[in-house]
Amino acid sequence: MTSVAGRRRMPRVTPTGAGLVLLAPFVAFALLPGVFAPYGPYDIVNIPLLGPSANHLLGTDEIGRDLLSRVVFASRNDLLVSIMSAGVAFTLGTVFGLLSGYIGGIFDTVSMRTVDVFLSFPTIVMALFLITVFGRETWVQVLAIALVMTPSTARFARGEGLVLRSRGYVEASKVSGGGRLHILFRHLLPNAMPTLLVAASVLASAAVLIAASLSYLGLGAQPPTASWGNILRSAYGVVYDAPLFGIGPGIAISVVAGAYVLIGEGIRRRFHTDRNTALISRSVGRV
Amino acid sequence: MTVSAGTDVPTRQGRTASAIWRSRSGRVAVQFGQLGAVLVAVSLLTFLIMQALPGSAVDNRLGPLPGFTPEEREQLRQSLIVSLGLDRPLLYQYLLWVVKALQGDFGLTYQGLEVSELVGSRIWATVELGMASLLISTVLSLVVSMFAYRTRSRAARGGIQSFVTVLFVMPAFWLGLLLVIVFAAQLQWLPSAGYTAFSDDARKNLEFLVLPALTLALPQMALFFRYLNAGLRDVSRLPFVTSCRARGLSSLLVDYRHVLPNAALPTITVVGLVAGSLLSGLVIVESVFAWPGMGMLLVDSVGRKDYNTVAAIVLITSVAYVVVAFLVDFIYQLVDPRIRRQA
Repeated sequence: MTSVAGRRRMPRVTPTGAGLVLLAPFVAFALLPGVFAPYGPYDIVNIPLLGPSANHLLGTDEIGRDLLSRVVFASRNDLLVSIMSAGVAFTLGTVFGLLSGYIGGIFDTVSMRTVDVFLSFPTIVMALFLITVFGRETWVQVLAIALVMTPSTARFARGEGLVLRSRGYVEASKVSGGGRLHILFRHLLPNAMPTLLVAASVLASAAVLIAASLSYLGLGAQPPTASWGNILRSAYGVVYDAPLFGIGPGIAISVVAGAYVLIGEGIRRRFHTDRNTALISRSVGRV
Repeated sequence: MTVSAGTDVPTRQGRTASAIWRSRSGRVAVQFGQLGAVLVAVSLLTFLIMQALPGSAVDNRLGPLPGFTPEEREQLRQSLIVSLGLDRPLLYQYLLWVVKALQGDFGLTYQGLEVSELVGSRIWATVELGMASLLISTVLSLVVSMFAYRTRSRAARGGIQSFVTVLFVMPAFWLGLLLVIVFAAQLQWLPSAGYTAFSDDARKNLEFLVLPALTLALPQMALFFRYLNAGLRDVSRLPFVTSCRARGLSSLLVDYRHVLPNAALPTITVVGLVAGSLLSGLVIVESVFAWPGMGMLLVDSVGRKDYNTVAAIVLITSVAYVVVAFLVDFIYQLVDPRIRRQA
């Protein structure tokens, strides 16, 4: 193919690449916050509510701590909670959903009706309810977020199970005596993986938003521990004095949530898994 | 809703039983049955989670009671157990709770107020905010998606697309903060947070309403836009649209009278889904803007560990969601005869 001189082909930016580039700094912050943060997260280093300056790129908070450092140190908690809860939801939802679609029958009916019931609770309302009853520890938070996301994942994975169960290789494995778990882990799971990974990226994105919402409401990481949600909470109190206070953590939340979605979008294009992946983003629920 | 073939027993009218289930009224009956089953399951789950509370309901209700001797306390405890029905089987307790809830009795709050009165005083603020946001998002999404559909400017279309995508990764409290920064702190057009009852001062009420309603409406708009946009593109490729154009109808008439109504139809189901996320969104938005509705009451009650109030709100919101989703499904079947025939 001849191309017009001077019109060189641009290096193609895949969504996955863009997503990884956006996510990378936050992963680095989470792993080594001390390296990237100019100050400690609890150190009072200047007068309160300074605007952005060379010394404090995001300004200082209501008691004079460096906001950039707070945002950097908050990455660990926010990423950890979101990844763990997305992981739990993904594992439980995938195993139950695939089995449900594959086995069918009464198991399928019961688990899908259970899913319906859980989906009837508004996301945040259910998470708040669970945290009220079981306490505010981090693991409760992780499990609460996971639990509100599991049903939609299960329903999604069930669709995959239904599609795959009639494939030749599954039949063949069954005929040659493969057990249910063998078929699940060796045939269904690997073949459903690309589609499921798209779902996982949506889950991770939703988990970031839900986790941030919970800590915004004061039910996540407790002060003085920093989290993007609780920094934004303090931002509201001082919105007339320091309007730029909440910009940093806000952007952090959106960039991380967006990065996950981009990575998923890239996987979707790469594997052409057009099968209704919109379903999951719809049912995981927005915050 | 599949009915097994084994039920093909002829009835007096000569129709088979499965034919009756497949008839219109039979299907409606099945749908109502399913609605009832989901409602029972939702309330049962709420009840069971409440059972996992640390400490018994009696101790929560009694409080520390400093002036009492242990014997007096134990006596009071026993009488309370009997009067609350806590010595009965779990199923009895559940039924009692449901029957009382149906009568509007959700027990007492931590401070000894009636939960139903507290919730009742908050419910209208929530309804006002929710309705306002739905109205704004519906109108906005229609305007924006029709503009994106009809415009020839790729830049404008791309701009709208990216704006909508960004809205998807902005949690309500972050979007709300931006709106507060711009419209309350910088421009000073609107108050940043607060509430006045409509009956007290209508103008003030609406001023307070704008920012929270917008915060809720913009993400909803993004969701509606996605569906409308896809719908418009799909419908515009259908043969009847070509035939409209061939008959010489103006493009305005084709787009607004023929394409839009057909494209908007599936969006009706999304309204049901939004009703669910609306309640979640309300929780955040109400506490952001100090809007004294059920969402804020829920957050406050979680903070106070006011279990009865929390359970009441969880039950009310989830029942509301189930019923709204059911009605939306139903309306959709009425509006779109194709769905009826498929089902």
